[in-house]
Amino acid sequence: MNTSIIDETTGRYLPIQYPEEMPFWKAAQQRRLVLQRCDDCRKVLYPIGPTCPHCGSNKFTWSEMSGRGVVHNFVVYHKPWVPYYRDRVPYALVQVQIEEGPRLTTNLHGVSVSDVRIGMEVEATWEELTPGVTLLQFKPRGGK
Amino acid sequence: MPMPDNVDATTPKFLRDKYAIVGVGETDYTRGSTQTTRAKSTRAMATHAVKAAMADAGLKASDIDGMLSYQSNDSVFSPFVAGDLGIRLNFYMDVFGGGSSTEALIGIAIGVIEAGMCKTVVIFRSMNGFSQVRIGGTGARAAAPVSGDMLHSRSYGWQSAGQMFAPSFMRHMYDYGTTAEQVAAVRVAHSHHASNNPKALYKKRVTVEDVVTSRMICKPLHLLDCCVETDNANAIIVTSAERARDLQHHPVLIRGVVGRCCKPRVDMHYQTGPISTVAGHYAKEILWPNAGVGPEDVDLTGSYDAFTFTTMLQLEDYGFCKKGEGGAYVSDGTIKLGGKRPNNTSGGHLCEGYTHGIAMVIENVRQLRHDADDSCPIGPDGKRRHTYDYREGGCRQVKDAEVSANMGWAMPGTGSALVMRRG
Repeated sequence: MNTSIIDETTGRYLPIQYPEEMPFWKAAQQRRLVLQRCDDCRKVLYPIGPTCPHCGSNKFTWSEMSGRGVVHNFVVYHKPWVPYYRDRVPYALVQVQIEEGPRLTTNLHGVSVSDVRIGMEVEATWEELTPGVTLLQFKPRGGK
Repeated sequence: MPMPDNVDATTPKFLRDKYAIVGVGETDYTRGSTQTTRAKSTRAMATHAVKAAMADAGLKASDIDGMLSYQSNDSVFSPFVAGDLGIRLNFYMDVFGGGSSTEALIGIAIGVIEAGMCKTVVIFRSMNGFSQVRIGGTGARAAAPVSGDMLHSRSYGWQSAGQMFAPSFMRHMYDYGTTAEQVAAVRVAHSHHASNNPKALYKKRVTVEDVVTSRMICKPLHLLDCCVETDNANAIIVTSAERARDLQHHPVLIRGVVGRCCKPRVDMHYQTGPISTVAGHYAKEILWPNAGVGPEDVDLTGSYDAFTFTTMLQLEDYGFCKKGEGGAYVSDGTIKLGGKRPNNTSGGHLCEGYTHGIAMVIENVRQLRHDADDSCPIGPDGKRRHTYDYREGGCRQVKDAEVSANMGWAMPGTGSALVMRRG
């Protein structure tokens, strides 16, 4: 487990991977998006957690998501906080509402920052940060 | 002033007006590197601020027996400050927190006095918000462990407070057509107020154009939409209204409080409800019934201005205007001195200095005493002769101020609030 201090090789923060989140991270390495679906109320949980906030159940099944969603909201960062972003500003942070319900915060690949719009149809894509960590990202649907 | 008493209060009405703020005090607002080579310690600053509040109230060390503070692992603890001032405590607590703390701690102070644990409570916040632990995640905070839902966010470059809060404003623009120019009017108003506040760090009046042409920090936020980071300490003293009557100033009575009221989920992925709705939407259902007044009864507000838009979102969700009309409310002159309901007459965090909200309560205490510390002449009785001429460098006292509301902000999903009135 890394310690969340800025990673020297990549110049950015690497996510800490807690045991209860490992199915998410292992699937990400296979470029699949899985999240917890509640066995009782059938809703999808996010952020990853121990109980279903909708019904209180703690029974869930890691389930494959469609990977499709819509940009619900975005902001554009003009200030780099870590070395990795020094020559990558401005960059967009988006909340993508996936078809299964939850909103996920990611970046948006394959589109110019000035073209990001609320309502854009997007799909999951993957970014390998290190050999052990693959990060979920989104890109315009059908785009590169 | 007459107060309606036919309101269905959710908490005991018998606490209304039973407690008062009797003393306030602060250090200068500085940015350490430009003032001295080294920032003062949080202990030295806190001691200075508490001492100033005691002098303001006319209280001795032996009159104080309770202490509360809030911090983010960046400040001194109560027993050290008490010890420095010769105060023996019957109660203290130092809690984690930022901008939603002051109003919540005032509620806790009332609770512990009511429970018989102590009689008079000092609340302080001491922070080197510029020289040591900055809010943006630089300096000490950059190396701090990341936890909770930040685990996933940091890798996406999702970091400082402004960047994490900005989505609530972006979505408000989308949902309601609010503009950058409208929220820029918050900075304009607060800068006018600060120009009449000798304590303020930024006294220069700015225009809407200055704000929207300043460099972009995180679209939709420009540099001047963001507050100033400073080093300072502030303190307020809470005791019973009965004791308050024997003290130095006209008492300022506490009508009602809300402490860290939350949206259903406060994660920064904005899972719950409309992103453009903030905690005030829920907090107002506690605040107004508790206080026995409504927004229309309020003469001045202290809506937290970490950013221009936080002021706007809260004023709207607490019901000072209809949902979606916050942009018009903050840009039509209402919130300026001389307007119907001025906001942050000290200049707030955008211009006076950054205190995690406590200074906005202090300002309203002084306003309700009719004793804003502006540049108006002081008469032979030691009291200011307010001119109500709000030109630059002039008066900042709100005429006949009777009722104020403070709205603290931790983040879009969490807020606290306080209604006070002139006793």
